[in-house]
Amino acid sequence: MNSDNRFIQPFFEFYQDYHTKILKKPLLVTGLIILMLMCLMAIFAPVIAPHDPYDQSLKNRFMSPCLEYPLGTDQFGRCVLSRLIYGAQASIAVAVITTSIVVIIGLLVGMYAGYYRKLDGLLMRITDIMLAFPSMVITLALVGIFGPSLSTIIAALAIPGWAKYARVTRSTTLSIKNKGFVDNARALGASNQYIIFKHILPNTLAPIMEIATLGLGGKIISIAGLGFLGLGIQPPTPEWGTIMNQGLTYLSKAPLITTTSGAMIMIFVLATNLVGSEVRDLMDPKSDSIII
Amino acid sequence: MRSFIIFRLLQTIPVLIGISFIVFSLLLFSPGDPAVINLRAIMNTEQPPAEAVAEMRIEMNLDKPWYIQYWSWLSRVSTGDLGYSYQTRRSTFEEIARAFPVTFLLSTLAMAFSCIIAIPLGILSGVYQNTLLDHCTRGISIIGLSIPDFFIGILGIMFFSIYLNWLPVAGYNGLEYLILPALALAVGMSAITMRLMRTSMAEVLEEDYIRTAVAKGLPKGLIIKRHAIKNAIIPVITYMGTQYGWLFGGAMIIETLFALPGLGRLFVESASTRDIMVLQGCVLVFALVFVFINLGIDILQYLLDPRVRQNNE
Repeated sequence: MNSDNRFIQPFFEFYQDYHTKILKKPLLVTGLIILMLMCLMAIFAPVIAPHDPYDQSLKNRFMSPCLEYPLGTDQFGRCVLSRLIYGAQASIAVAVITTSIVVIIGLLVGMYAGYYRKLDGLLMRITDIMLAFPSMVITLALVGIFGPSLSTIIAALAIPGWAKYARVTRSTTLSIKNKGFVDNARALGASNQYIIFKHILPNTLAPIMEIATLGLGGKIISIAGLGFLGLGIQPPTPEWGTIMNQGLTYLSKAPLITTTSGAMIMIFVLATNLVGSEVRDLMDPKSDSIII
Repeated sequence: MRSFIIFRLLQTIPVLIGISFIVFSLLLFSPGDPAVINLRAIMNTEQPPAEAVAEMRIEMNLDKPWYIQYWSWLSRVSTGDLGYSYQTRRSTFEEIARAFPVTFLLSTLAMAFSCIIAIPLGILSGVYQNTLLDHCTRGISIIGLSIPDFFIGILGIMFFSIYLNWLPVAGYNGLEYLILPALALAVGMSAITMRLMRTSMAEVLEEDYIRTAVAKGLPKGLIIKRHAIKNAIIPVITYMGTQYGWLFGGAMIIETLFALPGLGRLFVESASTRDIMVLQGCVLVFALVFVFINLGIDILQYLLDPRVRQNNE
């Protein structure tokens, strides 16, 4: 299928066509399974975790791995494995929420910019300006000014993120707004809003979903980065980046705290990258770039 | 040539205005009175007298509507007056001037590492597509892209500094302190550059002029060196330029991890202590560096690529 078709194929049709092909992609299946396991782990953390992640016991500080504490304990004698399992909750929840916000804003801005020529110039200049700031810079500046509360963190991650999605949606919209089916709808008397939400939106979803999958991994890294700088989700709430940062002080004494939390981040992001790049490969076998 | 440069310069003006608005608005939203912050530094007291604060507020136009405040802020900034640090009481300009060289060296070294890793591997996997080498580089690049740079940094510290004792753990006292952080930054960047180089190479190798060269009987090595690489590398250079621009602001976690006194660490510290004028100054510098590096890259591309030159005339 050529690269033009990928833009005019509705999202759901795409999955109907391809669900058999998905099974033939071992890397894609692996990525999906990892993501599912991670999400299940976050949801069922209270069932899976061997200990309470907040349970301190000072006489058990820095224990090496044993049957009771499979990954040992941290500086407060808390079970490292349980903290990692619970840590998935905060990281994944914040990443999913911010990615959804960013996708919605990006879709709306991109569709309107592509559909209405008058808005286009202004909206695209705004995205130009947003893209001039490395996203982590805006995030950190906002968290610095407003303090690291959960809502600030979500907003600070979402504000710089939407510009990329808006760009992609705009170019998809531009490429389909003069296609026959849109003209037909217009000839039948459909309003602009109807055309945008019933005809353009379903067609922009497929390319956006693939960037969103890659973006989800990026958000996990940003959240962990904030936590690592001490400006993320605040302790004692377990979060992978924060755990990593706290373990850093005891790197030579208890290296497992930092390395295992880093590995969790890596596995999650690897899974999103596998899914994202394999889905792209399915839709457009000619492109092989993994650029987000 | 000159008209192209002038045209590109004019294009950056709206972006610069937008940037200045965003950076200025950081000050509007922030807690704390900028007049008090400045006076604490100038008069060197914890509590500047109320009359002086009132006077300073008038001098800085803080009692006026936001657009007059914006204008007077812009005219102050254009002379290099970015206010004072709440923490150290030094001027922001001084703080930034002190930190900039470290970040500049770190970014440049990271770029150099990334070039050395990514470009040869990208060319090789573009030439030998779908071979074992190609699959390996694809695997490595996906993994490289998935590891956060700070995790690579920590693994590097554990292996090279603690286990092998080859490189210093943290701090800044000469170039050897930058090797590990630059490598940590380079891994993720080169993952993307490598794939881009491969794609670009693969595309160029299908062009007609390559087929002509093959038909002429030129040796393969010569075709790749003289015809393919020259054309394939142009989009890669453009992309690396953007990466370089991002790196100035993107190295902050690595700078904090390795305790390097660069811009990123200054920025993180100002964010953690709500040192608003320094924070604002850093954001401004990051954005300006990004815009001007991109401008430079566009001009470079114009000089390197005759096709771009033709399209713009």
